[in-house]
Amino acid sequence: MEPGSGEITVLLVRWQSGDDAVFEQLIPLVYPHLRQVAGAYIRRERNPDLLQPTVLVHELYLKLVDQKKVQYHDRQHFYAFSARVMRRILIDHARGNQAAIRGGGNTRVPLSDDLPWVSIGGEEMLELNRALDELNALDPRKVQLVELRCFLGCTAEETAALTQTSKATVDRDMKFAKSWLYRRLYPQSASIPTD
Amino acid sequence: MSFPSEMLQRIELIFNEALAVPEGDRQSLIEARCQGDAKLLVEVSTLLDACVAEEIVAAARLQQTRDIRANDAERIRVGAYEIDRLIGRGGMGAVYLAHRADGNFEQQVAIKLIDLPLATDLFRERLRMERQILAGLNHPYIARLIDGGVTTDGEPFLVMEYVDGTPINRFCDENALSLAQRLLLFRNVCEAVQFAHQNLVIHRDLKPDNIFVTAEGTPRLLDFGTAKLLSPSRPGSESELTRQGFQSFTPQYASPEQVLGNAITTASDTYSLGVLLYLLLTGKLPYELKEFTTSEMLRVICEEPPHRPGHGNGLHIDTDLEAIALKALRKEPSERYLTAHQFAADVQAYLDGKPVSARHGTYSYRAGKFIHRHRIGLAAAGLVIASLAAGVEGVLWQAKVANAERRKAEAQAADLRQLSNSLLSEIDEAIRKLPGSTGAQQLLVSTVLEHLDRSTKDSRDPKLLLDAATAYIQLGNVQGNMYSEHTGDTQGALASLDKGVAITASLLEEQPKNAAVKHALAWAHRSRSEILFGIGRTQEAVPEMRTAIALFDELAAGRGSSLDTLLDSAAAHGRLGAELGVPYWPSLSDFPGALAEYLKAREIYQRAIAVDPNNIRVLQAMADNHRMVGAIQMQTDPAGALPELRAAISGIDSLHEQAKYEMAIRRMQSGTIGPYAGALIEIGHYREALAALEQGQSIYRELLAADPKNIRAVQDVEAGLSREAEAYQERASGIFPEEGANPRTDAANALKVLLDQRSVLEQILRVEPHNGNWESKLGMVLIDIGRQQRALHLENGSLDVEQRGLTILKEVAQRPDAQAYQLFDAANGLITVEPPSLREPALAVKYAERIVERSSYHNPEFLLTLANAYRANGETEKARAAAKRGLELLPPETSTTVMSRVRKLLRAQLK
Repeated sequence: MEPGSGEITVLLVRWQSGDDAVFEQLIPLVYPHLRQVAGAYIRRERNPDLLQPTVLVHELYLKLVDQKKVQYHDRQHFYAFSARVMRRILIDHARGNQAAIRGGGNTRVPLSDDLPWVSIGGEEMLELNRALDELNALDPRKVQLVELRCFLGCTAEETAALTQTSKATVDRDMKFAKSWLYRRLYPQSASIPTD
Repeated sequence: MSFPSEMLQRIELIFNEALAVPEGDRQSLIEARCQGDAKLLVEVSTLLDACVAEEIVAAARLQQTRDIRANDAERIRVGAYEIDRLIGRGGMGAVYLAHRADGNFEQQVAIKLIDLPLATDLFRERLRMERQILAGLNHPYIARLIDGGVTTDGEPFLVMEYVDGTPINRFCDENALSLAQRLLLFRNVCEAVQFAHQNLVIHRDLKPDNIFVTAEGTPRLLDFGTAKLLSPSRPGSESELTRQGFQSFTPQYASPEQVLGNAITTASDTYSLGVLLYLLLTGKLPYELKEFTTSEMLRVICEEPPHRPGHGNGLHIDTDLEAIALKALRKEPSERYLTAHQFAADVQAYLDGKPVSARHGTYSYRAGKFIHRHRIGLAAAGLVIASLAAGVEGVLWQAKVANAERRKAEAQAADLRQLSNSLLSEIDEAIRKLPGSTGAQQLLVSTVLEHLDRSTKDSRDPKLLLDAATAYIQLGNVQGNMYSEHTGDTQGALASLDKGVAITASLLEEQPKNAAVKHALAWAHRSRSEILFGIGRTQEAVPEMRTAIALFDELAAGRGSSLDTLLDSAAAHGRLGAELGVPYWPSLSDFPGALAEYLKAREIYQRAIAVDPNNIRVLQAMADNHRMVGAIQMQTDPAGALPELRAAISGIDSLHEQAKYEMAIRRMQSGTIGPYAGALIEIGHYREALAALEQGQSIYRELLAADPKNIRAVQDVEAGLSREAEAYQERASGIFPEEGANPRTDAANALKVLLDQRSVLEQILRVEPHNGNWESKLGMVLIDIGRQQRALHLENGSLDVEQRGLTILKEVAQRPDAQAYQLFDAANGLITVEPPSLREPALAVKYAERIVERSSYHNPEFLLTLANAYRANGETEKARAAAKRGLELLPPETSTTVMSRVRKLLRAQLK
């Protein structure tokens, strides 16, 4: 069954309002394309001039969504959803990678300039995934922010527009989220000894 | 660490508050805010610690990433290549070391690509241009183009031979090369540069960093990123780049003309080679640039003489070698080695212990003999033209196509016929239009002529014969058609055209309906006519042009007459108009006839504009038509000519920007300003005229600087000077008083200009020694010089100048083929020369009668001269009659008539 574009938006709204089961229904619609996006995302780390993943996601969005029936929040939902899918793809990638690269050879390409201490395909990706799940229980909004910024490559401005906040808010929230995640991943080094 | 989300909100609130205050105040702030809640305090303070630690780690990690990105671009693919590392980064992009990803080749390559986010289309255009240039340059000493393409992002890239070497100066020093070794290496560099020049490529940024030497000691020219292709195949690009200020160069190696933004020629590259040689010999630059400001660059590069090489670097630099280095570093391009080959030859001569050219002779003569010397040398050796001519053939062949695939295809199909065609269309289309090319033209003409004679001998193949005829006609035009850039060999031109006419005429007999043959024959006649007219044989030129027009009209009447056919026909009418009545050239002075032809041409152009309103050739031709109509109208009605001339000037101005850079358009611009100023002089608007001429002269000088050997540019300068002198002299004469004018100042200015004009005329006469046109101009200038000297009381008692002028004028006038304007000059000289004791009015009358008769009483100016001559000879009645006839040629006088010089003087002769 091929859901129409109207269905996609409905499913997105349902997912966004907490119906996690819908996520799995949506995945097949976007997965192949988002895998390409992820590929672009990974390569972009080595060649910053490659097309932005967000541009690719937007293309996908235009392809999937009927522009005439589109609601104000649809784009936001779609991006948030795409970011979540990207997170899953990149985590899967890291999981698969661990077997392959264990024992060295990790090229350590940062996940994003916001989280440079997490490498694409690195072991810490899995740790990050768990930390995000934990944070999600307390503050899902922050997780979405991290997903948009770090897994989809949205700029602070894009993220602000998508989440209907200001760039300053995005920056501030990002700082807190990063500190939280860093402490979670590196509890020892986070407490810099003071005399 | 599990707590409700409300707690997270509290943590976050205090965290953000703490971050907003200076670090020293944070501890007290969070303690106050946590109000003894130990759990909360730990949460906030560990998060704040994490925040600080994260920032430090993140910064370090980002820096590391940037380093990795810059240095280890592993796994980046560009086309079929995998990038290994960054070699260098320039203003436009980067060069990477790479290898083929498919493992087909183990070869290492250099990939040049634009990897800047802000790259503009200009960069891309430049890179495409570089690719085009390199595609035509296959030489062992030039880094080879291997491949090219477009990245997945759509950015163009080049794949080049990777040169594992060191910059030439470092190579010399590190290997402690001897003087002879350095010179040999340098000579090889010259060879590569010469090869580029033969390919119509000027490198424009020769410096050690762009000349690598491999471990085996062979040089490689790199980076043609700023090179210029002398080919109109991409007409827009160069001018576009230049306009946008993208003429980059390296100041230490830049020639004065580069710094000044003037036209760049092959001599600019030889200058840079001169700096390089100097560096290789002395280890120093020829001058010091203390700062890279424009004023400092201008001062040092354009004015300061180079330091004498002395004995730097532990090498013995003798006077011959010093002369070679300094010759290459002359400020004036024309004084340098014009080609890298000449430079190399002198270096070789030095190495062989032979006399070097840098030390003797003035350059201008030797340059002309350059090709000659080579041809004789090669013929004597009985060799197949090894370097020069063969190089030119092969090279032009490549330059024409400039596209590897097409070139390959043509190379496969190449036979003699195609070769001559491509060679000639190359000369015709590519070189002729651009400044700075006469040397190259001369080089080509001799090669091509030999080639043609060989290929047409004994041939009966009509296709080959037609192509050969076409080639002969093109060649004839390049040799001596005054309407375009030519090498000044009019006799050779006529000989080539005779061959063209003979071949096409006999072909037409066999195939009377063949339009291509008919067109070629028409073109041959037209070209012959133009050349005959150019050397003053107008009586022969006119029927020749009428023959051409008849043929063109037949073609235009035929089915499917194209824009080209229309333009051919119109142009021929215009040319006939010129022969009938163009002023200041030995035309037949048939002004009404000339105007009629020009108006016929205009009608055809209007039809052509209707077909293609934006066709630049048509618009250009239309502007030219206005110019010519104005120039002819000026003979009887200068005020009436002004609107036509203004229409011409605005027509040229409105031509597309890119066309303005072409020499022909620049010439047209300057050639319109001349008559415009002339018309203003005729009605006494001297100040305006002088202002216009000043503008014209700057264009002439620019054209001349672009190609100092170009005789037409010199002639243009002369024409401008002639009008300028005229303006001052006329105003000094007081015929039309102008406010604020001072006759003495005008006389002084006139004298200054006349002296300039004399030296220019003498220069022209050295090239064309027996051209009566220039001779009689010189005669008149000498007489004018004498007159102005007297006006300024500068005479020295001797009458040498005046007598020499009269002698020349009379000598030219007595020749059986004397032209109307030569007789006109003689007549005027004989009755106006100072002192009056030198005047010969009777002889003047004889000459004046001849020109008036010859012009069928059409030329008011001639009638004025006749009237003046009669008056001087005491024949008052005849003077009145002549003046009356002259006035009848002018438009009837009304209340709005603007008084002109000729009208005023003719009226004075009525008394």
